[in-house]
Formats: sequence, C-alpha cells, structure tokens
Amino acid sequence: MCNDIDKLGKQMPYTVPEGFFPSMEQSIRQAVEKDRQKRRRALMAKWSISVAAAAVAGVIAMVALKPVPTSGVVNHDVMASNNVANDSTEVYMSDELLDEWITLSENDEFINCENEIENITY
Amino acid sequence: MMNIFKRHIAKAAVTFDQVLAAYEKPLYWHIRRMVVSHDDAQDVLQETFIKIYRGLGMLNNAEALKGWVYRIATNECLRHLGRRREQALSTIADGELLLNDLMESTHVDYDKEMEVKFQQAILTLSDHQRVVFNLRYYDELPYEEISHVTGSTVESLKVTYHKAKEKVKKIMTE
Repeated sequence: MCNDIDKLGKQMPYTVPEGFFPSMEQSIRQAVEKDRQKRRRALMAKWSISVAAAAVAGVIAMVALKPVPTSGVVNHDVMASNNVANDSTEVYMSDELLDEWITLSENDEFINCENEIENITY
Repeated sequence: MMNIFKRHIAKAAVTFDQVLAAYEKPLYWHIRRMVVSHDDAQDVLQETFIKIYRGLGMLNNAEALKGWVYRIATNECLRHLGRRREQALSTIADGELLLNDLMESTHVDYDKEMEVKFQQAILTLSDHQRVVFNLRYYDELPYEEISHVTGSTVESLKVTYHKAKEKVKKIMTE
C-alpha cells in the first residue's frame, strides 16, 4: 500500500467524454455572449427609464416654473404680443411644412377623438 | 461574436481568447477535483468564465492573471458546494455528498483503485484544506499565489497543507 503520496503522482480517476474540451470552449463562448446581451438589454432598459423619468421631471418643472399672472386682470397687451409672436412664428413656416402639419393633425386619432367624444350619447 | 473575444484588454494586455485557451483545461480540472461531478464541473466552469469575461477589463496586472482566475474558479466552486449542502437532506453529512458523487459517477475510472482511494481520502478534508491541498499538490502553485486565491497568509497555508497531507497519508495507510 502506497503511503507516500508524493510517489502516487498526479493521476486521477476522473475522466471526460470524448471531444469534451473543444465543445466546452464553444459552450463557454455562447454563454459569455448570451450574458453580455442580457446585461446590455438590462442596461438599455434602465437607461430608457432614466430618460423617461428625466423627461417627466422636465415637464413638471416647466409647468411649475411657468410665470403666474400677478393680477386677476388679463393683460391684453401681453396676450396680444404673445399672439403676435405666434403669428410671427407662422410667418416663417414654409407652406410645405404647414401643409404637412395640417395633414398630420387631420389624420391624428388622438387629436380627433375629442370630436368623437362629443358625439357619444349616454 | 468573435470580436468581443479578441478585443485587447489594454490594462492587462491580454484577450479573453488567450485566457480561455490557457486556462480552460487547468481550471476544469481544479473545479472537477473540488466538485467531483463532471456535470457540475461543466456548469461551474461556464460560470467561472462568464465572470472572468466580465472582470477582465478591470484587471490591471497581467502577472496577477493566474491567481485571479483561480480565485474566481475557487469561489464559484465554494458557492456551488454551499448551494448543494443547502439542498441536501439534513441526514447526509457534508463529506458524504461528494463521496457519493465519486462512487456513483459515470465519468470515473474505477479500475484505478489507488487513485480512487486517494480522491476519497482528499474528500475527507474540509473545503479550505482541499483547496489548499489541490492547488499545491496538483496545480503546483507557489504559496504566494495560493495566498492570492484564498486570502490566507503564506504561513497559515503551509500549516494547512502539512496537516492536510498528513491526514491523507494516514487514510492511505489504513
């Protein structure tokens, strides 16, 4: 009975199926790629949520910071000047672009559903 | 798909391809010696290389590569063994699980009686003793490198190896 394990050598009784290591290498590469794609999707999902949250926060901030009129009297001069500003915006829109916007609004279901709601009878 | 494996990891000056080529077999055998079952060793090896791929970009020193990959493999082995113990029935002692695996495996050459007995003796050691014994005896890692793998001091590793070797010798002579 061998009692000197240093003489026993490094032989082990463990075996592997034939062709195991080349196929294992392929499996490892596939697993690494799959893991990489999974982490990439998780990262994109987190990024999307962050962007959406930032956009909502931005809208809330814009609404919250919008100047409130200091008196109950409507300042027609201000309104007029704003309308002038809007009108001046329209002046700079090309006819083609304006036509495109009008077509989009006519075909937009969300905008036009308001008309449908008015027609609903209870 | 090949590009990600050939990408040169600037800090450590090594690619994943190189690591896989150099360490697939040595890590498989290290893991196999720890978990015994070929199927389990496959799973642990795969998980090890996934973690190696994830962390390779943060490795600063190519010289630390060997100790680093063995550390990941060893930690995955210990994690696997811990999970198996949790799943096993409470009536089965820790050492018996792996001894049962050794004697019931389809990937063990039972004609090699001395080698089987040697593995049975090694499996009576604690996990930590087995890690140290296997890394020193089979992988011939210097104590300094085993220290990086286990986090133990060189002095305590020498003591652990000596005790493990004596215990195995005693069982072999019974």
